[in-house]
Amino acid sequence: MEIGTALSFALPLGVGIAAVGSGLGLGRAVSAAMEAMGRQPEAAGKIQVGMIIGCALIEALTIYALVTVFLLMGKIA
Amino acid sequence: MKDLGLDFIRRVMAASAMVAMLAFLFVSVYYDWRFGLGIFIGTAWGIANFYFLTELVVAVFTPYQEIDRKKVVLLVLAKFPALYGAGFLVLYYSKLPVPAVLIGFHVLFAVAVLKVLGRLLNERLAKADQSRNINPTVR
Repeated sequence: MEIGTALSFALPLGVGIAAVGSGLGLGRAVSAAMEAMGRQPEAAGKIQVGMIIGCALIEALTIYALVTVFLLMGKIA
Repeated sequence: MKDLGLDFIRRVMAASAMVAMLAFLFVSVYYDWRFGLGIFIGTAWGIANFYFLTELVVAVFTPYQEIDRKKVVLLVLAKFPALYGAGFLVLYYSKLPVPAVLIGFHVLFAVAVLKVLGRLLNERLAKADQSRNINPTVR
């Protein structure tokens, strides 16, 4: 199999897997934050900050996958 | 850790903007202006993304607060189609180096981690000074 053909299969698959992982991670993070806020509403500010930074880091992983795809897209003939 | 509220996020964004400007000037002068611009645009994109994420979380997930639906819809539209579309256009159509944009995107996280590490170190030093009965302001 040529590298271009392999990449044209692998790239969308890779982004898809990254998006699924990121979605699962975000879901877990937000559900845990919701639970924590429900138990301690007075600590909502601190929980929100942790959640925002966590969400941004998780989201960044999908963006890395997307940028990697952009870098490798030039190799598809 | 004290004062790790939403103000911390605003300060991280402001510090990242300053780092981006300095990095743009430094890299443009000493290396390549395209690379410097890539870092600057990557950081600007990261700051905008972080800002929209923060506003969205605060608008939706604040307890005892009525959800402003119009604001939430606007934020979602600004973050997902508009900002991500702008990112796509920058990566696909501009001649900026992709690694530079990626480095710029990292700046925000680097600033946040360094700020937290600095605070931890400062608190530890203050505790050590207290245990030795030294006034921490007279370092």
